[in-house]
Amino acid sequence: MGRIHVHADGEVHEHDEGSDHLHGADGGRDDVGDHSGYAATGTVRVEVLERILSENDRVAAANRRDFASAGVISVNLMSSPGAGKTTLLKRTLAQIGGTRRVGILEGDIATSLDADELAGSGAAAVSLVNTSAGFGGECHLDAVMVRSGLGRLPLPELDLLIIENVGNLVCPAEFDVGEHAKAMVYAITEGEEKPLKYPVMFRAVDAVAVNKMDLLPHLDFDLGRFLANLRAVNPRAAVIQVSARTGAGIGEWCSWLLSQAPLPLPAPPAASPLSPPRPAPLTGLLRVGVLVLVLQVDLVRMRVSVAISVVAVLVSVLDMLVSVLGVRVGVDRVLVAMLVCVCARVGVLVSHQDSP
Amino acid sequence: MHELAVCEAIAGTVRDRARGRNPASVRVRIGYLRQVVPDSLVFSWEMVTAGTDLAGCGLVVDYIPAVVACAACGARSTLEAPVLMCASCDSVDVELVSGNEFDLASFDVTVA
Repeated sequence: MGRIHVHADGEVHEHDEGSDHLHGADGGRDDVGDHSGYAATGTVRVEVLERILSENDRVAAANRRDFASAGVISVNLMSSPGAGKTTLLKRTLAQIGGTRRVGILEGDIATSLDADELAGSGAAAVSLVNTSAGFGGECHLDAVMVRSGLGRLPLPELDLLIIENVGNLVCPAEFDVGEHAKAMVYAITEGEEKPLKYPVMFRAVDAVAVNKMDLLPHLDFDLGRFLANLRAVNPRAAVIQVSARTGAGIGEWCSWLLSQAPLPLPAPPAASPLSPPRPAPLTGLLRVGVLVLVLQVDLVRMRVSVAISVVAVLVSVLDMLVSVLGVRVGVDRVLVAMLVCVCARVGVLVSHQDSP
Repeated sequence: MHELAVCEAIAGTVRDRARGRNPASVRVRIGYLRQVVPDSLVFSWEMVTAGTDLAGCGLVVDYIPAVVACAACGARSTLEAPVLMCASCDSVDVELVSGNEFDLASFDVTVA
């Protein structure tokens, strides 16, 4: 269990095991550290300072790694109920389903209606997550729910994964599920003030598909005012005007989807250009060289050193040949081989001097 | 609407950190730009903790105002509406200083 400290200024906090914290600088009283500072009945404040959704964020990071290693683009698609997410997805599948392998992770509070509809529309794979399995039917997908749905998808076989969130303009915006990009479908039948009423959602997204544009002549909708409201809460989101019913703007929408490149995996440590591809022979040669040196000291009078020197020269020549014939000639290897040759030569000279 | 899920997350972290002790109250910091209604959060907290080891543990919500710093005129202004705009010069080139908080700050444990 952590250690609780009471400071002179009344601050009370807890340390994790092994935490290193100096109390002298802030005038803290080390003498009342641990458990001696609150002998009397009282209240101790434990500082936590952790993001409320930190557990969700940890799972989201794991999802993000899986998307990256599978090389799949993932887009979290959100909207209010009835804005046209499923119809837009069907259009999207009709447009790019023939050339790209598109997977759908379908989040719904209940029923498989949307998932069934999409499965017959050219999706490579559809995974349904019913949030009613949780506490009373969650109003959003969180990272854990998405992770459970990923197990039923062949991620490495997909080019694009669209996560169709629960229809809701409030909750889904708060939960990172590990996606590369967030997009929302907004229907012009929803009114111009929606960005101001649901700023968290409109602020969170990278793109807004403004849907049902075919209805514009029949509505009192002020597109300019809506766009101004959207820019007020989110100046950077891409805005794509579409009609999922007529197919207008679907090409631009699909281009945006496919331009969301999956994050690259962390690069493996770069190999040094000087390091030999096969280090084992190098250390072996080094040993031979040292062995030759040692043996020349001990065995010089036994005249065995001549034979050893010859072996060392043969080994070094062989190693140099292997190096030359191999893919790369390491500088280190050549140096060691030369060292071995020198040792051998010295050995030969010494043995000749000792000869009668 | 997602206050229940948020309260479940708070309860999970508090249980983890309390390590057997009995928290009397929990303090969270929620930014103005988060769509969490403090009263609704407290209500959900009572529902989530009722009948559990955290029953009776209070929830204190520090509601943090949204403050932006203007890159154009340098002024700092507190937002009255969730529109990221400088109150002095109406520039939208602003940086959020606070208002995005969504943190479990601390909890109080009663010690004998």
